[in-house]
This record gives sequence, C-alpha cells and structure tokens, in this order.
Amino acid sequence: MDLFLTQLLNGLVYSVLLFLVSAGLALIFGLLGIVNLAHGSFFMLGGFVALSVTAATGSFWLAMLLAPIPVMAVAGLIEVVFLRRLYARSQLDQVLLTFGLSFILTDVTETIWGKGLSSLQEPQGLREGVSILGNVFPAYRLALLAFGFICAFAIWLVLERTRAGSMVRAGVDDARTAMGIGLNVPALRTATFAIGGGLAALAGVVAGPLLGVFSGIDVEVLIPAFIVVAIGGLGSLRGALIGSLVIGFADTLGKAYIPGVSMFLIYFAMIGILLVRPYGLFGQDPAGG
Amino acid sequence: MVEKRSQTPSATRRGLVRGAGLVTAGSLVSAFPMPAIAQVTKSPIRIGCLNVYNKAGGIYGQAIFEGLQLYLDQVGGKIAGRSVELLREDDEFNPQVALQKARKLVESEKIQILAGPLGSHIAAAIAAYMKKAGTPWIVTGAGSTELTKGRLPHMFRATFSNWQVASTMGAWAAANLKREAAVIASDYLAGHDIADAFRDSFVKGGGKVVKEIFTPPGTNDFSAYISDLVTSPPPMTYVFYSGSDAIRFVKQYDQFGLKAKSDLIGFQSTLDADTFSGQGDSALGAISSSIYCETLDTPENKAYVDLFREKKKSYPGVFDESGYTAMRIIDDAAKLIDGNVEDDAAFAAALAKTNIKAPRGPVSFDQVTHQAIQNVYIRKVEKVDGVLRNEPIATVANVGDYPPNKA
Repeated sequence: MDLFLTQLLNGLVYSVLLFLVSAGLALIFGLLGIVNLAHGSFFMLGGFVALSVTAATGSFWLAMLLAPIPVMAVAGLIEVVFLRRLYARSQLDQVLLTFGLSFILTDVTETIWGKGLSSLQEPQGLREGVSILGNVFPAYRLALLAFGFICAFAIWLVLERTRAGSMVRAGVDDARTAMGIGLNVPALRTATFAIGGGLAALAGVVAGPLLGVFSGIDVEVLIPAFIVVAIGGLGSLRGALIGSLVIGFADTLGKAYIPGVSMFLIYFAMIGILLVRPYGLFGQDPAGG
Repeated sequence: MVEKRSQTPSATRRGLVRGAGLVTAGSLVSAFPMPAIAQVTKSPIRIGCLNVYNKAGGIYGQAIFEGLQLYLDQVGGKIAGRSVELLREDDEFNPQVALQKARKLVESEKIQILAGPLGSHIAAAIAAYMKKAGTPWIVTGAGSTELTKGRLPHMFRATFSNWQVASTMGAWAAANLKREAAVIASDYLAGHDIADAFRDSFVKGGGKVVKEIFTPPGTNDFSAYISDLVTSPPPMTYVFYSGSDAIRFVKQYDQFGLKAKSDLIGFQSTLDADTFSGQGDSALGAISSSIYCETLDTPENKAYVDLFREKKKSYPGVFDESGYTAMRIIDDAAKLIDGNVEDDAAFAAALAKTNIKAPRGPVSFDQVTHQAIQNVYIRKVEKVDGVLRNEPIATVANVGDYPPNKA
C-alpha cells in the first residue's frame, strides 16, 4: 500500500478544511475590505451552537443546517451596528474593532457553554472506516472532502452565474459606480458579512468531529486561515482555494516527511510566496501595479 | 503664576494636617501598646494564586484555582482561625509576565504563600526569585522532573512529577502489557520529559520503543502521523497530550482504525476526566497512569468526589484534585504553627511535615527535594451508566522523586 498516496489524501482533506474557513474570510475582505479578526469566533460559535443542537436532537445534519443561522444573525448585526461606521476609517481601526469583538465573543461563548473541551460526534453512517489503498481511511474525512468541493463549486456558481453574484462582484470591483447604477451596496455588504460568518460557522460544525469544539479554537483556526488568505491574495476566492491547497499539502507532507521543521514549514511557504508575489498568488496591488 | 501661588499654601496646609495626624496616631500607639501577635492573627492569610487562566492551559489553571477554592469553602473560608484571601494573578504562560506577577504578589501584595503555576517553564522562570524571597511556595501543576533538583528550601511540589507518572507506566507496561511501543508526544519540555521517563523504564523492563514522534503543540490535524503509524502498527502506542491536542489525537487515532490495531496507553492528561467529554467513546479501553483516579474506593476520595459533583456534573481530574489537596496541605501546615504563617521558615518546616490522606491517597514530602511522595495508579477508561470514567486497575504505592534528584 502506498503511504505517499494516503498522505496526499490527508493533505487534501486538510486543505478542504482550510478552504471552508478561509473562503468566508476572503469573501468578506473582497467586498468589505475588512480584515475580520472575529472570523475564528464565528467558526467557534458555529461549533458550539451545533453542540447544543446535537445535544437536543441527536442529529448532526440538523446541526449543520441550523448552526449557521444564529451566527449569520450575529454577523449581520455586527456589520450593521459596528462595521458600517468604520468603512471610511483606517484599516487599523477596523482591525482593532474586530479584534475586540473576538474577545467579547469568546467571553460570551464561555459564559454560555463554559471552558470545557468538547467535540461533535460524526453522523451515523460515517463513523466507520472505508478501505482504500489497502488501508482504513475514515469515511467522515472522505465525506468532508466531497462536501468541501461541493461548497467551493457552489460559491463559484453563485458568484459567477447568478444575479446576486454579479452584484457582489460589481461591489468588489467598484463600489462607487455600483451604487451609481442603483445597487444597494450597504445591504450587499451586510449580506456578505453575514454569509461569510455563516460559512465560518458551517466550517466550525463540519470540523467539529476532527478538531473539537472549545474556547480557544477560534485563534487556532484563524492563524492558518490568514496564512491561506495572505498566500492566495486578500479577497480572492480562487486564491483562498489555491492557498488552502498549498498550506494543506505543505503542512501534511511536512509532518510526514520532515517532522523536524513541520512547525515552521507553512510559515516558510508563506514567506517564500510573498517574497515573489507580495500581494499573494491572485491578489492585486492596490496601487494598480 | 497666580494659580501656582495659590497652590503652595494649600499644599502646606495639607502637609500640616497630615503631620498633626501622625503625631496623634503616634501618641495613641505609645499610650496603648497593642500586642503584635493579636494584630497579626486577625489579618487574613494571603495566598498568591499564580497560574494561567486563559489561552491554552487555562482550563487547568482554572481547575487548580477552583480546587483551592473548593477546599477553602469546605472549611468555612478559614485556615487556623484566620480568614483567607486568594490573590489571583494570570501568568499568561509567559515567563517574563510570571516573574513580574510573582514579584508583585510577594512584594506589593505581601502574600504568605504562593500556589502555582501550571507551566514548568513558568516555575523555572520564577524559581530563582522565589528562592531569594524565601516565601513558601506550593507547586500545583508544573511537573518537570528537573524542578525539584534545585532543592529550593521553601518550595514543595504537592502534585505529580512527570518522571513519577511516566516511568511508573513504562515499568508497568513492560511487565503487564506489550513489549513494543511507539511513543508520540507534544514537542515541548513536558513532552520530552515524559517520553524520556517512559522510554527509560520501559526499556529497563525489557521493552523496546520502535518509533518516537514529537508533534507541535496545538496540532490541528494528526492524520500525517497517524497514517505513518497505521502502515506498520506497533503493538501499543504511548501518548502524551493535554487539552485540545489530547481530544484531537485520541479521536483521530480511533477514526483511522488504529485503536483496534495498537493499544492506546498514555500519560494522565491524555485520558483524564476533563478530556472525556470531547473524546467520547474513542477513549474507551485506553490505559493511563496518574497520581489520581476519580473512582478510587476510599472514604477520602468518595467524600471529595461527592463534594465536587455538587458543584459540577463532571468528575474531577488530576488538576482539580491537585488544587484541592494543595489547600489541604496549606491548612494542615498553618494549624501546626498556630496560624503564624508570617514566619517563612516555620511555615516551610511545617509544610515539610505534611502527612495526609488526600483523595488521591497518602501524601508526604521527600525531605531532600520536597517532591510529594504518593501512589501512582494505572487506570482504564470504562463506561459506567453511559459516563466515561477511569477505573483503577493497579496501584504502585508511594512513588518518590527521580532518584538522581536526591543524590
């Protein structure tokens, strides 16, 4: 049996997980220009809401369906009440605000669900291993892989092939002109921020059986997600996908074959790519270069 | 100019008033001399609780603090007839911060004893200062084997040493389980400490370590390491993780079907009462060694577990019990010297005489290194009434400190 192929599969699964977290982050930056440091909190909240839903109903699928809803509401509220006032101000102000919000959301989470360590149970039917390449591979990870690609395709489809998607793209490209031709850009921003938060929450649910659900996971997922977005290019969804693959493979193969430097490998990858392409693989120089 | 001039007389006036006050107070004191002891006894005993309360490790720091508090509440908030103040400081798991906070507790807050910390690197960072200060210090978490080698006269480790727990498992596993094992541990001080202790005694007992893997703390995805083990599974795998790493590793180990091929054994924090809610049935059947086991059938432990479960639904873990027992030790020592805890040397001497039956079993201190001498339990994860718990399957009685530390 080929260990290398298994490791590639592991890398692919981890990439999908990273993509699910970073897609919302990239989307939000693209349209709102906001570096959202509270993104990890949305991920964490999604996991905790799912924990409550599964505790009450026993259904993982229901948790996947329901958990993003309250998180989208929270995100939407944050956009309307706080972020809206800051678009005209410096990026530092926005970063400080979302950073502060992440602390508040952590406190809220700990007040409601406590500080303990929990995790979600895989749905029935995906708990067993599947035999591939002569070895057992967890069925849940394969399902996650499929789900990740479906999500990527769905997001692409919405952005590229629907009216709502073209409105968002118009807002990204030139908000002023978009408003000029009658698009309601503020509403578009609220919706995008809410959907980005909902995506993070969904990622928090599906990652629950692998990564667990606990206070502190917000920071743990935010860091790799930012690396992904930095590599891919801030605001680019395609960049987030490619960035996830780069980091997912670098991390997994690094752990497998050069464990001594695995802790730093993803940072080396980031530095290497940013040296060659300072705005990321698919990012654009804001100065128009 | 005008404002400045108007301030000067007022300052002088205030100075005059203060001077008069001092004179009055001074004359009062000389007129009615108060016995110094009586004053001291009435003031509360101040205990500094230096630990990490947020971030990774925060749940353990919190558990230790709640343990201290639980014992204190049980005895009515008083120790040797004196009320107690717990002064909580967060070391943020940062040695620099810890040293500042330790100074603050000792010099500004005037604590009589320090309880903490969780991090071995934190304990190492404040050791030199605490030695100079001479304030008694109960270590409630930091397990590094090295720590007691320094033989600080006023420091007492009232909890486990990594060597105590891991080497006991190595010897027991070689004699009672399989003869070959892989070791996988978190890549920091404690991980190497524990892996070394396990390997040494396992090899001495006739075992062989076939593979050693160290993983970065806070690893999200263990699949790369687990796939590596799956290809030629060792008969058993010895594991050290804590917190979220413990949850992820144990779950992923099971998800990849490795648990069925390679017995899961580990260090106490990997399979403890506080990780079961996250690990679920993936932890079932795993064996670990620990200074504590929540299902010990002793009157001391039963009373403690009942008390703990009045507050919480879960069972107590190692750090919950460590905090609780640390306060018990402080209480006993303070009683022995009639509450005169201001006398550092007398307090430390009383602490050294500790000989109690704690929930974890008998506890006393090594007279040379001040490491707690205590039982180490071999525990197995079982499910009773739908709840995962550790059940003791073997006891190694009165395990002391790492012998070279005493030499």
